[in-house]
Amino acid sequence: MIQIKECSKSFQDICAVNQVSLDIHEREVFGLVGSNGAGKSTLLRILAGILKPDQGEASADGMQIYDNAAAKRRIFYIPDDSYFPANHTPQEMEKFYLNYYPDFCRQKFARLMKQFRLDPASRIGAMSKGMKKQLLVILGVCSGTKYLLCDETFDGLDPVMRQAVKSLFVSEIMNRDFTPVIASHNLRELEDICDHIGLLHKGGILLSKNLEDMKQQIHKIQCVFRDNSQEEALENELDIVSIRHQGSLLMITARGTRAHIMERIQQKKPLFCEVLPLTLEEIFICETEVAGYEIKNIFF
Amino acid sequence: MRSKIFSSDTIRTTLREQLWISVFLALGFFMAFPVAGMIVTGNWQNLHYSPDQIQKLYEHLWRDGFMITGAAVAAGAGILNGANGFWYLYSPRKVDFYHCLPERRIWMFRNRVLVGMIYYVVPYLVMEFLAVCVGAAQGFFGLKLMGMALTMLGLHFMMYLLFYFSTVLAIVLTGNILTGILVLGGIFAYGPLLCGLIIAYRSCFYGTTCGLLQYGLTDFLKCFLSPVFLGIRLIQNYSGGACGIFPGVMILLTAVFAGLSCLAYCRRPSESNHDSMVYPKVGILLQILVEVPFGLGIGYIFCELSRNNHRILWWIFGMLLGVILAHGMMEVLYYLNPRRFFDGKPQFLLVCILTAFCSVWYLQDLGDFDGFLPAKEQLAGVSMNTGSFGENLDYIVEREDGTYDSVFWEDPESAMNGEKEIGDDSYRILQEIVEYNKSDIAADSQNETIYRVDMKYTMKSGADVYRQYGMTPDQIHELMRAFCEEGELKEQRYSLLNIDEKYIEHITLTTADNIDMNLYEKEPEKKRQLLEALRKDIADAETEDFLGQATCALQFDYRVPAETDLNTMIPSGSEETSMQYLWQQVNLFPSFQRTMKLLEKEGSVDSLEKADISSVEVWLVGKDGLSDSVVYSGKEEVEELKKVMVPDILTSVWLNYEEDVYAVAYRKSGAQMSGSELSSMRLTQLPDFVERDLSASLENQDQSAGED
Repeated sequence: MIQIKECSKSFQDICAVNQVSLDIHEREVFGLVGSNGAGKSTLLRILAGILKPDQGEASADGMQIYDNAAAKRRIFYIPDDSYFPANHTPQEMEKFYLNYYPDFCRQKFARLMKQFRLDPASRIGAMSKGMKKQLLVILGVCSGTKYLLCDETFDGLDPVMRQAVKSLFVSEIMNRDFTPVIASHNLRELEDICDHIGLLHKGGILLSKNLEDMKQQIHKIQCVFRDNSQEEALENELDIVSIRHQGSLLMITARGTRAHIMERIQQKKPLFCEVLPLTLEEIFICETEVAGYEIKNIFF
Repeated sequence: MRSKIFSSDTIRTTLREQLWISVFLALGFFMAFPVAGMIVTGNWQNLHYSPDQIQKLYEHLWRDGFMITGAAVAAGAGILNGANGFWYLYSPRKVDFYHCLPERRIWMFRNRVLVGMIYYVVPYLVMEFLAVCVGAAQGFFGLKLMGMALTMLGLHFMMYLLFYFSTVLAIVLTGNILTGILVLGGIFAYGPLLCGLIIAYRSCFYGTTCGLLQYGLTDFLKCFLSPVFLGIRLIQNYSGGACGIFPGVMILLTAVFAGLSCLAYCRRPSESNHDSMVYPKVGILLQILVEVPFGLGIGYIFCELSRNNHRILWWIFGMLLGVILAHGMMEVLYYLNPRRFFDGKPQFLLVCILTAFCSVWYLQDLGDFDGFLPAKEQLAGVSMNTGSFGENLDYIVEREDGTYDSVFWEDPESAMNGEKEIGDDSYRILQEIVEYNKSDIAADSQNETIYRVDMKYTMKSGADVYRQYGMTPDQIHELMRAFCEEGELKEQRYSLLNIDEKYIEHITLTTADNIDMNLYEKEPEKKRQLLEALRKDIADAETEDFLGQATCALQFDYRVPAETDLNTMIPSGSEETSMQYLWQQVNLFPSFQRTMKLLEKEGSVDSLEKADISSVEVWLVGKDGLSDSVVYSGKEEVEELKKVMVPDILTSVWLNYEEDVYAVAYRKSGAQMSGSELSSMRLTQLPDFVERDLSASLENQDQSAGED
């Protein structure tokens, strides 16, 4: 488990990360979301052992990460702005990382390179931004580390590759002890892969919750009632987050368990009633409102 | 589990990545060793040096030529490898890439240093081996050469490491290329520049500064704190035969730089690649180290430009201007923001205070520079540059190998006290001279002739201290007397006469009327007799005899064996030993009876009274620069003048002569004035008729000048 305890990091007068405490559990996909400048990259760089926190500490499996080879050997960091030594080929990068990560799997590397249709002998400098990201993901997965820190990794990947990478992560989680931490400013990108979400805003963590837990507590229902009185009664009975009309169709987002909400609606004998999947954005709107924030001010 | 970064596979991979560095360095060492060697040996053969000479020259090449060329490439390699290994710290992307790798910083540092060493050592060894092979193919091979090659390898490696860690230190302390280059330049040049500033201030504010000599603190600053000058001094010393303490100093400095580099690298925050200085406290220290000397330097320039009474005011203005400029530039550089020019006021105030303290230090001589005289019990030797007052007393010593050497006045061997303790009388006179100079009488004296005399104190601790004192003729006389009686000045003064007479080439007598004549050409027995008589006269003479007026002089020209100087070796020289010419003038005094007796047999002249002078022109130079002369050809007048005239060559500064009066004597008189002109003479006193004539003549001149 990665633990961050009251970590702070400032760059001259700017506080990039402020008293952040966070736990990242094993074998879950952790999504770190926040707007530009929220401190996601700084937090990931602290977790990668690049930056030393001014206050607090970051540890992996009980070991402090900064300047600790044993802890860092469990972590692979994929930066947003990738760098490869000049004139290197994927093969040479494979050899390079082989020296640092004892569990690096060469067979897997060869297989994934083939799957992602990347030429191991071509110069990395000549590759596109997306191909470089793919290569980094492959190198990160093959390094055999327990934790993979991805900073805006899906940026620049086409939808097919994005899906392929997500599948790769899922497959890794199923096969071994693997925990990807994915930082992104795009909520929609993370919603179909993350198990746990941490929301950063202005260097502080707004919330950190399991996505399933959040989904259990909030639901979106579309229904049609005979008259408005039933609708008004329902508004009083449910913890409504939002309610809007699409013609005769009523769209309700409400807090509470699915059984409780459905029971209340069914009591009103609707003509039609259906539970719809909630987007991560909608869930966040609800959760951040609880925390006293307006999500639109954070993201849009 | 330990990573495999030190595995041969990793090193091979890393080497392949940047093979160009090794290739580049191999090319440099190829030029420095095999190519340079072939060019030089080819030149020797063309110059027709004998095989023995070439053998000596080739051995010297490994101490001198290869040392210089190799050192230049090694220094370049150090800078190149240092920059290549740690340049990444200026790039945020590269920092993220390398610092997230599972390796401790200390190991990353060691890894980079090791890889840099391999880049350097492999091409060096290959090219040095190639140079040895080229030499062996030409017939130069032996254990001695192997030893020299090994020593050179070690010395060059030390230089490489010093330059390498200097570069690394500059990079790890800074956050961008501009400040990195400036700090590296500072590491190389700060010591010598500070040394120059101190010397300039000493010469400006202290009356007893001994020219531009570097010793003690200034020498330390220049040579021990600058990798460049330390390297140069090491090469010079090694080439001269002994490295001295310089390898030790180089190792120490390298260790300090390496330690600081490692510490700074391990503690360097990864995010600091945009700041000018990574460690703010070091930044403030550097600010002070730059701004204070800069202010003092600008102040000195203004002080030197101004020659009027407001010199001190201009000096203060210059310092203030310098500090403002330096502080502004440092602030701009530090923050890379021109708007910060007038920021950092607390630091500015601190710099102003320190600059003011330094300026008061020099102005008031708070260190008592001018009044410094080592305690008698601390003094091992006192040397005096007698050439400062026209007495060239070369001290000749015979070396164990039978060669002779003329010792420079600064050399400890030529200390006036020899191996004895400093005498009480000598020390007392020195104290008087120091007090005389401290009170600024020497500098302000208008009426008395003052000679600036270089002195050197050698301390028992091994330290040297140089001063230049203003001395009156009487003080010089007293000091010479004391050194003769208590020291070994007499022995040194006549040391040339200890050389075996077989090496004498010529003996030239300079008579009282300034005629030179060669003595005893092809008469070795007479030469021997003359030397013997002279030695006995010198041994019997009293101190005051040596300090009296000489009547004539002998010049001895010797051709003696000397240490082989490979730089001036004549091609195909048939002589086994190098020879050098040594000469010395020995003044003869009236008490040298034995010598005079021998010279009289040759019909020589030891007094002007016997000289064939028919007219004398006496010149008087007035205080306003006007001069006039009167010619005397009357027999009585000439005879009178003969009694008081002394040829310039026989004068001594401590003897009294008429100020501003010179005479020129002629052998033949008459309207033509075509006789052979004698050299300039001084007068011990003015005869009445001369004084009267010259006064009248100068008065007329003054009147004429007034009317004009």
